[in-house]
Amino acid sequence: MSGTIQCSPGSSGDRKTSHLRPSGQEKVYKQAHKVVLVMVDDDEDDCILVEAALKDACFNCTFRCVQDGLQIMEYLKRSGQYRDAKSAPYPDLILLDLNLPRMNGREVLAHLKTNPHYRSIPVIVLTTSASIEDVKICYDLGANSYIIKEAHFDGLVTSIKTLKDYWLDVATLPPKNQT
Amino acid sequence: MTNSPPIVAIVDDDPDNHLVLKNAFEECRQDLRIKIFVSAEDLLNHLEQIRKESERSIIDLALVSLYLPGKTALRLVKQLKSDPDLKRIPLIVLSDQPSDPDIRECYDLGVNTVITRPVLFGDLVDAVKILCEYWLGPVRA
Repeated sequence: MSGTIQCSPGSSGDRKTSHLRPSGQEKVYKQAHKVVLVMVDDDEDDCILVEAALKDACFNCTFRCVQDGLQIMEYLKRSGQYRDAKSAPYPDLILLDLNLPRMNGREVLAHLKTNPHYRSIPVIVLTTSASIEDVKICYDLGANSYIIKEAHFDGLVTSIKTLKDYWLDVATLPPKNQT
Repeated sequence: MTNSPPIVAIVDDDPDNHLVLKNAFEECRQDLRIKIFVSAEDLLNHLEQIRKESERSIIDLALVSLYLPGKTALRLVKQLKSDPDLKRIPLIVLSDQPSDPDIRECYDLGVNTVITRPVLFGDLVDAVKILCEYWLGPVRA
């Protein structure tokens, strides 16, 4: 699953989510380069839904989806099927599901946040779990943020818009250690 | 969710920044308690004091200037994020330059987000509004 999310000015998503500055100009999101967003989720339907929500929320980015913890490790190391830097660009942000086969989301998070090469990449846990225990464990393991995945598409678009406003416009992302 | 006002800690040694940030938060929402700390030590002493008195989460959001004297901001991030009782406090570091070399280290040490402080007050208010919605949720009655 891969794609480029690009909103043209005046698209429905843009009108819904951008606000006008006092000058009357459309707000310009500040990240200097197109952000690379990599989602880790074994459910292809979820990847398709998130990609559609990114488009609706006008979250301009290069989007990639990998299926499990071992794949994200291969992706980051550029090994296996992810050798090509163009098709597997280094992530600026990782969206991580918790229920994953082979290596669960908590293990992936622990691995990412204890590895000096990867620990600076912001990891946003995106899960259907509203368990307080999961929230605590994820923050204890170093998650940068924890978002509960909405069951309905409209709710998912709202969550993605919130992510866009915060991570694209307000946050300063760390410099990449690899291009 | 509790109805008690969310507590936002601002850690900055510059009194001008206290005033600007406090005004920006107050412009965004009125249900907050803003606590000002002038140094990393000042915040840590406060947290230690509260820890002795109560078990409840003491601060809902902490904003720390990257430019505290003697690079103490980085030490503060490290200390908070390695303390099991304090590591879940959302910790935001405020930088003046998006290319500051210490930003990477902040993320390495576990900060939740680094934010480059907007120059214009209106842009700061916009950023604080998004920040509050993201970490504190809707206004509490």
